[in-house]
Amino acid sequence: MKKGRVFVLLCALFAMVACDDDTPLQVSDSELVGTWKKEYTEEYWSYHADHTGAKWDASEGFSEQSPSYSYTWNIMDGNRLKYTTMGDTINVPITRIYVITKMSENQMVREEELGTYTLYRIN
Amino acid sequence: MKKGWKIVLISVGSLLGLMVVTVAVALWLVFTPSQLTKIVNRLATNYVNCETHFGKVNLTLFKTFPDAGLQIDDVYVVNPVEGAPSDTVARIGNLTVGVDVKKYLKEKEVIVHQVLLDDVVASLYIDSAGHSNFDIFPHSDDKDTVKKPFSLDSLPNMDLKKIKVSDLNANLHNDQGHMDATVDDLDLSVVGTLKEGRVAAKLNLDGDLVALCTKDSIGATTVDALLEDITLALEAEGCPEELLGDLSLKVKKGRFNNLVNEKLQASKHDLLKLEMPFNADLLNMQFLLDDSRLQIDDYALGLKADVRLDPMNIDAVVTTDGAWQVAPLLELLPMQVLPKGMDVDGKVKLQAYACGEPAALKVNANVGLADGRFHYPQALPYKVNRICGDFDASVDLSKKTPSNVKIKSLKAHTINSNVSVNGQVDNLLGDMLIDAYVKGALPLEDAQPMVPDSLKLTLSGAADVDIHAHFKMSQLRAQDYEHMAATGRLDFKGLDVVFDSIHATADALALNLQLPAKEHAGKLADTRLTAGVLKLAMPGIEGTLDNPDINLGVNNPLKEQLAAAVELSLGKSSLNLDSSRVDLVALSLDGSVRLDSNGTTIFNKYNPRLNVAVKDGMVASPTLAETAYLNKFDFRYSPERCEVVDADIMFANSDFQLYGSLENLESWLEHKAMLVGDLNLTSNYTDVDQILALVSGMGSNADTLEQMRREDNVPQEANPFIVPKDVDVTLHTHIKRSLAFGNDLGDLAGAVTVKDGIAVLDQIGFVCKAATMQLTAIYKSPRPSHLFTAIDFHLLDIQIDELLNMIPVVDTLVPMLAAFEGNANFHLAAETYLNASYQPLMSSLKGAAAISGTDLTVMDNNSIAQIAKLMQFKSWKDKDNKIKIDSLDVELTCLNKVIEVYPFLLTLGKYQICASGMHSLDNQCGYHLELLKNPLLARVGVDVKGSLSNPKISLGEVRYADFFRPDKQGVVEKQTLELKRQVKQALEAKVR
Repeated sequence: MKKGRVFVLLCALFAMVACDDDTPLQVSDSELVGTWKKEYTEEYWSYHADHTGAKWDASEGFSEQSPSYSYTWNIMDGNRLKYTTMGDTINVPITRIYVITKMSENQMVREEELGTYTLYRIN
Repeated sequence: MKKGWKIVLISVGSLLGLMVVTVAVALWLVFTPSQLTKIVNRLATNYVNCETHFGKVNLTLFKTFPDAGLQIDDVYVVNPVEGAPSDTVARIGNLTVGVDVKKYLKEKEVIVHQVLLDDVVASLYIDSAGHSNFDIFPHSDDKDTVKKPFSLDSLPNMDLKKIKVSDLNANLHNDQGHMDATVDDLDLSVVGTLKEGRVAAKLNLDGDLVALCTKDSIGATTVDALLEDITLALEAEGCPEELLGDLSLKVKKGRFNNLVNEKLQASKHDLLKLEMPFNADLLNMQFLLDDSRLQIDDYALGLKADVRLDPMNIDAVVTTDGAWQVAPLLELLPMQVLPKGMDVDGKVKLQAYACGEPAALKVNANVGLADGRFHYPQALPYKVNRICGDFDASVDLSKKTPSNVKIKSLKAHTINSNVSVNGQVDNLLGDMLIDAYVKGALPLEDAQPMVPDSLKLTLSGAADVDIHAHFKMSQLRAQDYEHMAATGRLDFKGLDVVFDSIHATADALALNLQLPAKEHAGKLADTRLTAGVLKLAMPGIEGTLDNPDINLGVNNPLKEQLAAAVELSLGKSSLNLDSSRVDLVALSLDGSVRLDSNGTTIFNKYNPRLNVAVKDGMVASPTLAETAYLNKFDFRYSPERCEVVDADIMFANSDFQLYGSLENLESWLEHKAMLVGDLNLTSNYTDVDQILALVSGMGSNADTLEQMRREDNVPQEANPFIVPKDVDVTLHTHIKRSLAFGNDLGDLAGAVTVKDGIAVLDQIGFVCKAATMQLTAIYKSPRPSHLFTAIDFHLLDIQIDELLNMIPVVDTLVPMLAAFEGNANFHLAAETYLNASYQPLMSSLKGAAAISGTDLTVMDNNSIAQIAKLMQFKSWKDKDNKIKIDSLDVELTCLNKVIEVYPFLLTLGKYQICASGMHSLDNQCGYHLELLKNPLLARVGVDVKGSLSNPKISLGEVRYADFFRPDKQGVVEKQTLELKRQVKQALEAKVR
């Protein structure tokens, strides 16, 4: 019996490994287009069809009309969201790459600089 | 014996009487009236060419005694002429002729001594061909048509003891000469002798009426005269070359054309009286009049004259007999010479000398005027009295030589004023040229009516006038002041004048006038105003000026808008400009002003172009927290441009020396354009914070800003700098010491530009805490709670702790820097929004920084000890047990509240570490440190994760390849270049 249990355990382990999906997430531009709000914050991110966008923190008095900063974005390798800032007065070309790990119609999970956050679609 | 003589005398007398009676009876018997009548009728046909009738002829002795007389009653002379009003030429009621009996008896000569006519009615007529009805005597047979000159010598001696015509009524109608004459009830008597060419005669004439009317060829009346109650007496004695005599004429009433008006006709005085002694030369037609007197109504003239008739020439002295009263005299003039409503009176004395032909008479006269009076409300609203004057006139009616009047004196008074004039009027009969000295004292209210309404000038006060004027009447009428001349002085007291929108008052003010202008070329007049204290008020400005000395060159304000060249100097003065006050010790300016009545501000109304020098001035204004002291302020102002030549200003703790220019000042004040300026500022000390507070919010609506503060819940104590709007001013600064944001800065130099809500600092260099710094920045203030700045800040050789004190946000961004000690170079290029307390709004902060240094010391702490232990450092501290960093060169970026540190090398003695990672502003971190070089030749990786203050430090995988050395990213340089590009754009364009 003991060998049988060991065998079943080994099979289960094999199955787990065999079934593990390594395919990266494919996110299309159209899925991303819209306005998203970061959970637990007043941060908003907008992605426009022309690959521009803006981020604003309402807790600091910013708004979509007067954002914290603007940027251009594009999706690389299926789910690597690269955005590069563009300034109102000076163009500060700082680039960051976030990895989108989950994507649905109204929810997005992405890995940012120092953590993973969920964003919810506003529109 | 006596008895005998008595008998003899009686006998002789009786005998003579008997002879006379006998002769008389004989004459009466011989010469009966009927016989005499017949004789006369028969004889008359020999002497007259017309029908005559004699009624009754008598001899008379008594009427013509001592001559024998022939008295003829009812004499008719009838001579019908076609067109004559009557066939009867004359009817004489009684004609008596007295004959010298002795002459007749002795020498058989008929000498007529007396001719008496009584009750004469004559109707004389001359037809259009010149034939007269009174041409009744036979013409001479002498065919000689050459007339011999008349000479008394050619006449027989006469002794006319009496020629008398009584009650003569005659009329003459002359068709050829277009003349009608009438005589009513005229008595004439002539007594005289003519002996050997010498005449002695007396003529007396009294008539009730003499009338004469002549017409010209077209029937227009040329003479219409009627004289009533005429008395004429003429005495003359001498020969024709020298006939001495006396003429006396009196006419009680009458008219002559329209020269005698109703007033004159109704006067109680005789119309005309003439007393004229004369010495006549009839051959040369010359008359000398000595002490003659001509009186018309109550106005008499004394006359001495030498008159020639052929050709007509007069040399006369005319004097008024006493003073003539002007008003009644004017009433007697045939035409109204004064305009309606004008009242003129006075007493006039005249003494004149006239010579020449009447049409070319030259007259020199002295006219004296006293107790004159003038009132003409249409010209002057007040009466002018006590007018007195003394004039010398020289008039040439031929106009061949100029006529002039010398005003020796002319004085006049009103109730409150007086004026005196002396001078000269030339070209009296043409365009009068007046050269007059006028002095007077008058209240300015009296002069107000003479000020043209177009000048918009109101005056009150008193003035003493002393003016010399030189002008032509045509110039005065045409207001051609450009060609007139005047110099003078007016001293005003209690002056209160309003000109357009300028109101000036002065207790005492002197005005010197020069026309045409000499000091100011192209201007009409120079004026110089000096006063003790002058108070001025105009829109936006009120001032009290001490000892002003104002030189003006003015144009003609009646022909064009007033423009003046100005030089002005003031002593101690004070001005109120709206709510600001300016006190000056001295001010001088020169330039020009031009009045534009359509202007609404002081600038576009007066269009000044001025060079101004202010000394020791002081400006206090509600907009200034403190008083500004102008030690010196020299500037040049022209429309829309103010050039500051040299300004030395003290404001609170700051001092400025300024020069440069400001443009569009007027349009800016009217909110039509932006104020553009380019100024150089040099200062020993500037309190930048004070200056920022001074200009903060300029051009913004204060209510709007306040509303924004309320909406954004801005704390009261937060007063961020709001960049001025509507201005584009660049300040090139050189400031030795300054205080800015609580920091003492030295040697501050660079350009500061404020452009319509954007402030730009372009490579401002300064020294702070012994470190050299350079700052380029853009600052905007759209809302008090949302300020924006983009900066490029370069610090060289600064103590790290000083850096963190100066820029606390660096500590926030790079907290690990606090562990370092030593000097570093710091370069930050970033942009962010700020709150009202200048704290970055971190979500908007994005930028890059580079920190480099050598020989730094790291303060030991637990984290460093752990890392050292994991990396197995040996002897990594110096002999003082300090951690020495040989060199450090870090680049980092900040975005989204996350600071990313790019891989950098850290050299600690024999060890070389490469570090990189991120940390967030909420104190989370993720760093990887890897030992690239160690004596053990082992590669070690350490991860630091978690909370910055208490991270989790563990061994991590080795990431970097051998011999990896991190490259410089150059992010700061990129951003610096970009910032500079944007600064340039912002300065060149209207960036919002």
